[in-house]
Amino acid sequence: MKTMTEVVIKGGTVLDKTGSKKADIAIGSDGNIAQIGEDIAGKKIIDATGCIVTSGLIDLNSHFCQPGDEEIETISSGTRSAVLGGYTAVMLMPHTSPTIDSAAAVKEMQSLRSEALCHIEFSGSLTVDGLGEALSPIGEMASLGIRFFVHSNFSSLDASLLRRAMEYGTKFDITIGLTPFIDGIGHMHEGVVSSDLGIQGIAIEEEEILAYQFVRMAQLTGARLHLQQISSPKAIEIISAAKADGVSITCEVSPHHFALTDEEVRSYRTVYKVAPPLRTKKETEEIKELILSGQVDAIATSHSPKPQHLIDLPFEEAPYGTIGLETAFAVSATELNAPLSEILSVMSWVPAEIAGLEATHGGVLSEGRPGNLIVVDENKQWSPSISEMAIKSMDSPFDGCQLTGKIKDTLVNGNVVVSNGEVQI
Amino acid sequence: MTPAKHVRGVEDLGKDGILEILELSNHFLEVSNRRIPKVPALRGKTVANLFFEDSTRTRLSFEKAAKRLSADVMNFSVSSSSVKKGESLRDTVETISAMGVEAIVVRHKSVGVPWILTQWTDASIINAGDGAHEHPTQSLADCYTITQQLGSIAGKRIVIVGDIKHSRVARSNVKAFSALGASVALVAPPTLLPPSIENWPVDIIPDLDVAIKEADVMYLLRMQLERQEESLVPSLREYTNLYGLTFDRSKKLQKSALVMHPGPMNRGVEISGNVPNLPNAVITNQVGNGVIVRMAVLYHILGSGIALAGLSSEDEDND
Repeated sequence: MKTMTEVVIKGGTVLDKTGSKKADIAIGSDGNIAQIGEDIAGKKIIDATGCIVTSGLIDLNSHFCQPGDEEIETISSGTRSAVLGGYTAVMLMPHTSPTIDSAAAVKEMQSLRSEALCHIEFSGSLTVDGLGEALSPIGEMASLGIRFFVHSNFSSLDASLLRRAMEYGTKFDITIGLTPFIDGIGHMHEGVVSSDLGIQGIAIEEEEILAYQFVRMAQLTGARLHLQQISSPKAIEIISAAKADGVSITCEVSPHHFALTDEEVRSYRTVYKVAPPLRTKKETEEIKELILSGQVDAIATSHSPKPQHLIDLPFEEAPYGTIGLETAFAVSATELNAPLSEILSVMSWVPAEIAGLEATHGGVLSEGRPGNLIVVDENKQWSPSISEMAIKSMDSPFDGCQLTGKIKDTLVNGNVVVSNGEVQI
Repeated sequence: MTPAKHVRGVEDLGKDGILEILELSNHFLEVSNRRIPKVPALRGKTVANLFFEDSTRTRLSFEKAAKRLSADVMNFSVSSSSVKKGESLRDTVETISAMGVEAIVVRHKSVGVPWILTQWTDASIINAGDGAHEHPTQSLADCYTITQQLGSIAGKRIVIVGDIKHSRVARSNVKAFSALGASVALVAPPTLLPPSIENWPVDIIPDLDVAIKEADVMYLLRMQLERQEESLVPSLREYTNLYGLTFDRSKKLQKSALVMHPGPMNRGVEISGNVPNLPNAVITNQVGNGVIVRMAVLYHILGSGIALAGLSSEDEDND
């Protein structure tokens, strides 16, 4: 009954939704898990002694800039970062050039899958060019497998168009991802620091009001929503209340929104310019509590590389966005300081369900499922260095930070793509 | 004390640094009153004026200060459009730096530019205004003017009136005045106050007619005309009625109270047409002292090792 085993992950503790146990995992020649058990022999051994073996992470919010801005990032360089960070699947946002707002654009993206080191899932733009003026052909794109449609700039989408999008979308099995952020005149969190620096602020209440608006519209239309990049604890509470009320809604937060505060802006480094903006210590502490109490569904990176000339700008002139795939796990583990199962829940198990990937990613490890696995050294102390990252972008908010917990190995469909922290391809 | 390497904000100097600049300014006031108001203190040093925002007044003031110290001056006026043409801030600064400059005086519409420049050049940076953030040399000119007129700043009540939210002068002055022991009060429409200033060492007084009676110094800020278009105030007329130093209102000032303004004034908006001509209005003194304190700042940063006592004016044929 034994299939040929190609790779055996030996000596680790296997952790999934159902619990943890000491076991080896053998990967068959088909790339699927062939056996979970004790003392399995194999051609290639991955030593997982002292480590946790679990399902790969899923990112719900990445920007790889291809097509259009390949100088900044590509599917190839972006997925290198992803697998180094322990991700076996990433959901790409549609804000490329051209925008992913048509069947043709979806087909082009799907043809790029061969360049990826991990699974890539695509989201579509809810509106043509992301401009908030006309609906994209949701049905045509859904027929090509797109299950996630997003809009992220609410300075340009009127409520009636959003309502129509939600209503129309209920015909298809799709999730609508919305970022409650208005790109207005502000550049950072409105508060003590913005007042000191004389930089126009963005009130946290703006996000809360939009989140409430989205929740009520989901209630009205029956749409399935995923709110992206939440930075306000109150917005998370609004979402939790809606869940209790039967609304089909999930939400994500970014590691930088619970690991960093607006005090960082005093350095004027543009790596701290993100949308929504970094909030205060009070919010970061509350968000961590909300994650640990199960009110946040996913941690998503909003990984958005920038070229050097857009990093070397005054804060107010810089575009939004920062990178995060290679550091998200370690930053989350360090900041949350919680049992690994709680971190995996928001970085792998639930995100796999939100992305519709639960058949192949996340959740339960059992024989026959694809070998999308990571080996995690929970206690490894390390310090990320931008010069050693796979990323093309030249700045990271976590460059030089002291972190605990590192991805040692990553397997995608049974292939060892990262071994001892090094990309193998 | 060790001289500051940069003067990007008031905090680069601190209380001791401000006092040292004010003390140095006395020497340079004397130099400026000489028949030949020029000393060779910075001969051979180059100061680049890098202005990304139009400000003829501040640029001229820095230029005059540098020339009185015999520094070479390079003026770069970079309109923001040249950045759009492709040359970045970094390229510009690295280019100027490569030509060999000891100090860069920078004015930019964005907050923090003087700080980020230090990544790309070894030159000393002097902030001539960054967005709504800081304008430390204006502040030094104001401190020097108040000290000249009132003997000291400590214990004085200084009332700053107007668009605090968008004002770099207000931010630097709150820091400098309070560092020197003044008690600072702010008067502004709620829309023109920064949203969270509970940590600032200031009192907020809603009513100018209350604040005016306490003032040893009435410091008026320029009211940008576009604030009306942004609906931050309903009309300039209403602003003048509530927050302007009208001639009638000026009669409520204490007899010795100074009237100050960083310029350029909107006569008839924040200040009545004839108020600047009152005996206690020291607005032109502020301008003159601007040159003096900028000499002191340049000397403080670049002139270390040159004995102040020995500063003699250059011979005319050296010029």
